[in-house]
Amino acid sequence: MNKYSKYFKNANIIIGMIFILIIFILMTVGFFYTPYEYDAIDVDNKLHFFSAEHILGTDDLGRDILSRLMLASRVSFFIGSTVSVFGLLIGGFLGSLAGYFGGITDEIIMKLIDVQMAFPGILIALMMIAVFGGGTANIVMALSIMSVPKFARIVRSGFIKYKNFDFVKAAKARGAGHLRIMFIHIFPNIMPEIIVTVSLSFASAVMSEAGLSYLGLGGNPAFPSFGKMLSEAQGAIFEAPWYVFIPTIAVTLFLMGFNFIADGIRQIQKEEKNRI
Amino acid sequence: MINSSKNPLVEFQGVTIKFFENNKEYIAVENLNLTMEKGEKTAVIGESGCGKTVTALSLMGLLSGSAKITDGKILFDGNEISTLNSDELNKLRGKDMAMIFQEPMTSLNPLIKVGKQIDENILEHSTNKNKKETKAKTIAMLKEVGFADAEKIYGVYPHQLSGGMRQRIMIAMALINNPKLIVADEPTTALDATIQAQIMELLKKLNHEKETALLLISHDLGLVNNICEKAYIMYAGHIVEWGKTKDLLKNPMHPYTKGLINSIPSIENKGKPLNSIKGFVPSVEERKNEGCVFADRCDYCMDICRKIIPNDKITKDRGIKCHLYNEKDKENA
Amino acid sequence: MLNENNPILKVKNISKVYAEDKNNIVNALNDVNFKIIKGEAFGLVGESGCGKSTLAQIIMNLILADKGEIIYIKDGKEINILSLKGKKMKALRKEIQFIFQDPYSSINPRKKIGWLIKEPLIIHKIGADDAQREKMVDEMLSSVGLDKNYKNRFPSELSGGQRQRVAIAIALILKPKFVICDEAVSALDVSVQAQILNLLRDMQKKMGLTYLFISHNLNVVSYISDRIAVMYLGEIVEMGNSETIFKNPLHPYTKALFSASVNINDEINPVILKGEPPSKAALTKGCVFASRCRYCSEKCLTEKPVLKEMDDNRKIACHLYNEY
Repeated sequence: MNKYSKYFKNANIIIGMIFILIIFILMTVGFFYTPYEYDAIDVDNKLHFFSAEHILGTDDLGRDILSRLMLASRVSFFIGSTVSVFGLLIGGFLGSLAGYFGGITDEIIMKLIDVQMAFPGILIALMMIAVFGGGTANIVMALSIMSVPKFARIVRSGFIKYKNFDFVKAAKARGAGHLRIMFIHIFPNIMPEIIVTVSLSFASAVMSEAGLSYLGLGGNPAFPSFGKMLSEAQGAIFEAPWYVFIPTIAVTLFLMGFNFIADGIRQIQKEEKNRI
Repeated sequence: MINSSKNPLVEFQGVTIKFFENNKEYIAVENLNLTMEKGEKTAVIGESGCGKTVTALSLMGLLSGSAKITDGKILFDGNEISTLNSDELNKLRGKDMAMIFQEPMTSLNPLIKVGKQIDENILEHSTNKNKKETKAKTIAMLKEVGFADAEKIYGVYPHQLSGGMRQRIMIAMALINNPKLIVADEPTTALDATIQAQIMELLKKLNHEKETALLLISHDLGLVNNICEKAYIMYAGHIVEWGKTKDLLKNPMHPYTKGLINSIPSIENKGKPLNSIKGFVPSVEERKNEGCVFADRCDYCMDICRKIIPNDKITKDRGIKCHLYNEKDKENA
Repeated sequence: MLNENNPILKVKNISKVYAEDKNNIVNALNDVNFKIIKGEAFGLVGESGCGKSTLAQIIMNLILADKGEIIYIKDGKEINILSLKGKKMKALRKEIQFIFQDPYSSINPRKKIGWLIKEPLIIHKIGADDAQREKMVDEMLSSVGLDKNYKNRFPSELSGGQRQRVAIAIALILKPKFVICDEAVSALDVSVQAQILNLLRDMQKKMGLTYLFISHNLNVVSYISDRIAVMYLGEIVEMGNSETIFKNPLHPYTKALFSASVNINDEINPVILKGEPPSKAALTKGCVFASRCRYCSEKCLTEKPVLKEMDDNRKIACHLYNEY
């Protein structure tokens, strides 16, 4: 039996995967084919309801909403994954040093992280955008920095827990070095918690990006994103209420998808713990 | 049977307990028969996972949600436990029967002074709500379980006490209402040998003075030998042998009991290999429903052992569940 | 036969103090001395908190001692383990191995059995290639009584006894000379415990191992050990041949401990000690056992008894026997 097969039998994980797969397929298809150019303005056909020509209708400038949605999901996936990867690399590195070595290393790293956590995340992002200007790169940077503490804390607590386990002492007694103990012995044991954190941070990055671009602080103004579409749709909320729903549903699928996956992994973890 | 009377204090009549999990059922205890007289010290001995704790919990009416008694009756002092509702059970528990758990750290509330926790037990089951009298009673009890400075101990919190002292508090709490029965589930396993000796001596003394019956759940044959008159050997949910402790340990008959005794290392068998039992204890999921539960590990396993569950063969003061001793089973096969 | 003059390990004046703050000094080990002879099983007995596990970890150089030396004798040369670092320590780790108490926490749950047994070979670069290492793993598995196909299983699929067999395989794959067993069978059921004790005894014969066997269970220690040392609150109170001590314990603590260890064959009359070991013993002036000893005299409170050799090859630290 495969060790991972139980993850694909969990209802929460399956539902979460389906939600994300919907957006993922939209995005992938968007790389090769969109019904229209995302910026093709057609003022004669603005705010159309769903039809055969425009499956999800058109926006206030007559642009095809489906095409824009396909491109917008690209932005969300890009930001979500880069932010998680950066957060994991930096946070994981700091957290494992702090947790494994403890003492003064731990003090310094955790103080830095506490300082960072004292600021509301969105405030840091606004500050950085004010200083460096808008744009996707800066948003990614701001959100990555925001996600570092979460990873650092999770990884640190995992290291603190496992470094006192007998199997770690046993590995030391056998002559294993620090790196071997940290990454071959301890790291696989905290992997489930890390996966949970990755999926939650993915979701929260997507959410923050939508929020920032809703406020008009996003990247390239011509390129669509969920937040931007939402703010555009807001202007036409009475003429074309369905337009508001489309980006909303997309963001919701994202958030719920990742939250479902995180819940599923936690569930399996709990069951495993109960068995021992 | 030993001192069999018409009205035993505790009686298990063919009790079967099953776990229901994920739409599957597992047998934890099967067809269990056990009797205890008033004031008697009885032990249930077995290795981990044999169902001895489940047995104790079922007697206290404390089985968790997924475990249910599916067959048989448990009688305590004439009451059938499974028919009582939670109010009636609460009246019984703490008053007529009390339990001592293995881990004294987690079975005391860390935020309440130990004296108050004992008071609580008195007030719960008494109409007299006089605080002074209650406290006096608690302090007298604390003295009885060996605290010379009982007044001081009354006001301390559990974390200020060592494991042995906490177990004394648990005993005081259990005995405060003069129960008819104490169920002690591995009460000294978490303690050191010299402290274990103290606690066991205390239990013995109190049993003698107050005529409280003791049901001791343990894995330690030596300990049981020192305390209990009667012992039941349990393996994989079945009582495989029971009898007078001294006799049972000197002259074991069931292959499992024999194996268990031969497995104990000592200075006498130094230099020789131990006659251990082959294989390992099957988990609840792995147990077979056919034949004798011990068949796979038994050196004397016969064909019949794999097919038919042996019946109890009961002589005057010994019961054995094994085909080796049961002529009738053989003939039927 | 065991030769007193052929030691493999000497523990010399080891002291270790844990201090929470100035007023709360916990004396983990106080001037501990003993020798372990090549090929013997040396039992270290004591109750929880007596410092026996601390001592084991000091011998393994996993924690530091405040004072003293651990001398390991390799090919007639004396090496002080506590002064070794880096590569030299790593090289010595091949010779000294460790088996822990809890088979559930001492094995990494995320790795397969085969990987776990092979890892020491990889760390110490033993074996020409992977095929050769795999062969060594197979041989080791069969000698601890496990089937080859266990290699692809995870620890969670094994019972406690099987896991302890794996732990033994991991410890013995490097062909060590000296193995520390820290409560190695204490977490196991009696019937499984007997199997593991048999295995440890067989492996000792087969590989010529020397054991330091640490346990609180006197039945186990007396069964497996040639000599034993009894510890109380960080000090050795009695030491000698296991038969001698078991049949005729002299130190009041040893007496109480041995009488409390219940055996199914004898009528027992346990010596009940008063009180409990002080949890935070400050460095006491007198005998560590004085507070619980029924023979405690004025001298015991003021003067520390030293380990003194008796005529039957035993050493004892008690004023009762130091008179003459």
